[in-house]
Amino acid sequence: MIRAVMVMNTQGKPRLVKFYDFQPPEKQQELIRSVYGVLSERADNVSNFVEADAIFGPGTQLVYKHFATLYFVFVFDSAENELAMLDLIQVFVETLDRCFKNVCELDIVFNFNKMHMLLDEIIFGGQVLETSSEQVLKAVEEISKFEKSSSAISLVPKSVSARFGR
Amino acid sequence: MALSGMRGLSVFISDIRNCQNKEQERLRVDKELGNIRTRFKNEKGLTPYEKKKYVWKMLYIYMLGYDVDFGHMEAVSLISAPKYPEKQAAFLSFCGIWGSYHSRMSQSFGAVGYIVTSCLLNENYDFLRMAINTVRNDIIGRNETFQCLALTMVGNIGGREFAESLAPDVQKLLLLDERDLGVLTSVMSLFVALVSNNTEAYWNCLPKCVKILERLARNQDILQEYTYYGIPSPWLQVKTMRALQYFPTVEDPSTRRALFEVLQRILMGTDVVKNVNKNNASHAVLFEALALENMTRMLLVTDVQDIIKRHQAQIITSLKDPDISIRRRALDLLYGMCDVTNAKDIVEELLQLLPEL
Repeated sequence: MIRAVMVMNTQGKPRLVKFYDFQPPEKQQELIRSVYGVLSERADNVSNFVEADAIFGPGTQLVYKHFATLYFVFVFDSAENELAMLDLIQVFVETLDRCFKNVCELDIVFNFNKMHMLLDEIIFGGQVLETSSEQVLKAVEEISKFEKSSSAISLVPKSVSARFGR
Repeated sequence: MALSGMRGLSVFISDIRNCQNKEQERLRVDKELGNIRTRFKNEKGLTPYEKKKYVWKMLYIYMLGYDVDFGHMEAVSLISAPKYPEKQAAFLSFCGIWGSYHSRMSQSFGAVGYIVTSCLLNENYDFLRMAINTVRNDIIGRNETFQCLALTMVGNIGGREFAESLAPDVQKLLLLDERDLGVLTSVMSLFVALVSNNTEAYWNCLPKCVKILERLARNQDILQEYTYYGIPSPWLQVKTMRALQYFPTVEDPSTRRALFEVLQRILMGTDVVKNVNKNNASHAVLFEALALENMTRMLLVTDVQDIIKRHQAQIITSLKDPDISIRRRALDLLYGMCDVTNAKDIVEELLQLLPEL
């Protein structure tokens, strides 16, 4: 299963963090720091795969991709194929790119609620749920529609709706 | 640049970004937490929109590494909000922040039984029971969207009791005959877990898995959106082969022939190409096929060895790769592929390498 997904910038600031198994809050921060420690030491010409036993326990691995100012990191155990995980990062990023039209770090910072939505469509409870970015975008669009239609209703001033209610 | 759609949240994030150092950030976060706390205290004046906004802010603060130890009740009350955005914020924050409390609680419960020792636990237990009740209402309710939200939360938080009570229904639902590749991908993850637990019970699923693989390998009836850099859903291929690895043999001759043909196609058809992403995906499939081949021994072993030998020079170069994980893998591979024909070359290389270690 996929144990964690992290998006952080090259200074180690977390931009999106999701753990799929239980980690106490302090431990989460410690894990983020250790992962950053490993990544920041790695040169650009080395592979995307790191054995993560020391950080996440035996049999775990992390794979990452470095785009501009961001690291995308997936942590997983031996039940997953590591190249498939690398591909999944690509899908995630391509989906973000389509969603935000040329995604940059700022989009991710200011839309972290949308990031959660997107991620939840792709990975669910640590398992790969959907790999078609078209389907993911469709679902997110639907959610946004729901949000808009519901908030339009809530925009009606309270006094007005109260009067109609009577 | 698109914004979150919540002005207060965007302003808060900007403020945090403008902080010069950690101390300033802490001050800003403390101020915000204080503000949220007071606003939550006289809850009457809060609109659902404001509650949602605060809960999102709390999730953000939590991600930055600050402890958010309040707001449980507000989140619970948002779960029962009648509108989608509030509900969604509440569910997400539960998965993010309070989900971890839940797991911690169920762990403690496992250990100490019903003796609730700490006040915090007690308080949490009450709020959790409320949350569960509200979630249950959504699951059994008529609104499909809310059902989805509730199930997403339950799925992400997990919980052993929940899983145990649902397991029999889920097993009946195993949708291996489904055509939709998205559904198949998720089902296959579950299937791998089930098979790893008890292979015997799922013998009848084996031909179905092979059918799925056949369809993918022949690229029959695969929608463009499930083709990743020209390869029909590598994830599904990989997972299906992973599932097949749990079966010791394939007894039915026609199934065996079909699987043989698929593997042959993958093993012979994978080439190194320029596009990195395509390369990754095709090799993900290739390696999984090799693993399966290795376990079931259905192909002539020499075929595969010949393929590996074609890459011997490259593997030896990898022994000097700057990346330690690649060096290690190369060493493993060389060890595995070493036989009478290549022992001299390989051992020579290894001996040269020894003084450098």
